[in-house]
Amino acid sequence: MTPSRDPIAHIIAQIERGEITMRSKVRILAGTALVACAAAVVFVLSLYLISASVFTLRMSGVALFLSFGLRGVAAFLASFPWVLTGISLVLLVVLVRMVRLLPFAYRRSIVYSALAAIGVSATLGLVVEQTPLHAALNNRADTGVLRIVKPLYRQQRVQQVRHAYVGTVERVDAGVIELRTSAGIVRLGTDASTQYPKGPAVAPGQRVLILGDNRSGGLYARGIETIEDPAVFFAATLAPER
Amino acid sequence: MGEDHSQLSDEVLATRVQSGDAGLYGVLMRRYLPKMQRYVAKFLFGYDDVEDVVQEVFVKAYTHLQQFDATRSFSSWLYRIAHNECINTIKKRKREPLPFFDPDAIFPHPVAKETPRDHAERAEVLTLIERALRALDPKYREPIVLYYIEERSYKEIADIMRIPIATVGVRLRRAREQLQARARDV
Repeated sequence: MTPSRDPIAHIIAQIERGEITMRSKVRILAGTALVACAAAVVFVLSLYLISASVFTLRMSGVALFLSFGLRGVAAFLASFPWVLTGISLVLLVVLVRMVRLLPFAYRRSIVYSALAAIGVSATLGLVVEQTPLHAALNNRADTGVLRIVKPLYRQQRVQQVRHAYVGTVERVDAGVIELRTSAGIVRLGTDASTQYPKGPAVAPGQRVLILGDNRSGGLYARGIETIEDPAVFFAATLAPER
Repeated sequence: MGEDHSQLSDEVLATRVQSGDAGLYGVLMRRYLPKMQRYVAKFLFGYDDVEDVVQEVFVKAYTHLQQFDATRSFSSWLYRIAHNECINTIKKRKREPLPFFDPDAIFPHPVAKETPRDHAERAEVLTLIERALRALDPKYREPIVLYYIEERSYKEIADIMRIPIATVGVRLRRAREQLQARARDV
């Protein structure tokens, strides 16, 4: 733009000729509504992903690896839902950036906005995780009705860890435990060094997480922990409505 | 006989322009032209496009005037538009680095309020600004111009720059220190 000698007269003349026009209130409101909708979508999506991460952690029993020593810690890190958590964090950053557009947020340091966004999302995420939502979606994914969410609830994640298994106990004999996993039947030896879960003894029908060792004599269970079954959780949470 | 607009506040004038009285926009521009020219010239110290930027500020302000909320200050709203235009110009020219990530805005700082020292140092800082403004980074140059030359409050500067109020205090302190150090070097 080339400035005129009198910029005010120049701009007024442009306004009068219709070369500069004021954007309508409707257009501005539509823009604001669009941003508000985008913020709501980001918020709901981050709640969904945070609660899905917690649900996956709980149902896969991945956190229980931590009780199996150093190898358990390595198995935990390998099985942690990093992608879900990463996407949730990216969404939280987007959410914080959106919140920062508001005067009550940008007048204070970013750490407050970030803590508020993380606190609210994490709290509500934990509340959502306690509802039957994820169990129902997981159930639909398992039965093939909702294939699109199947990767989110992949319970066989821990199978990617060497000699780690999640499945239902088929048989417990002296020195042997037989497990039905998504990949088939697995037999593991048990001995005095096997770490059992606290509480009642492991019995057929229970869903368990096992971290094994490949010793010269075969596959041995280093640690066993019982975990929740999504199908049982789904049935239990929906039971009052049945 | 024409209406005397000098008694009308900026916000009343802006509301009337929003309602379709486009001619009153000239009154608003006349009130703010010297301020905008001074602010942009100081912020874009050494740049050639000050007049272009000032015109663009008024054009943008008119185009987006329906966004202005008359319960708030028109002055801060206009300075915010000018701030954005100056930042865009600095980005386009690529002559000075602009921080992508500002640690000052992340953590809370204790320096949050205007202090008597700020006012006591005004004369000294104004002299330093004339001598060494160019030596300052844009992120320090802008708050010092807004505070000492445009006489905006910490809260107004926070609204214009969209930074925490405490960060305004931190940047002003650092800017003064940089100006004093530069003056000593000279």
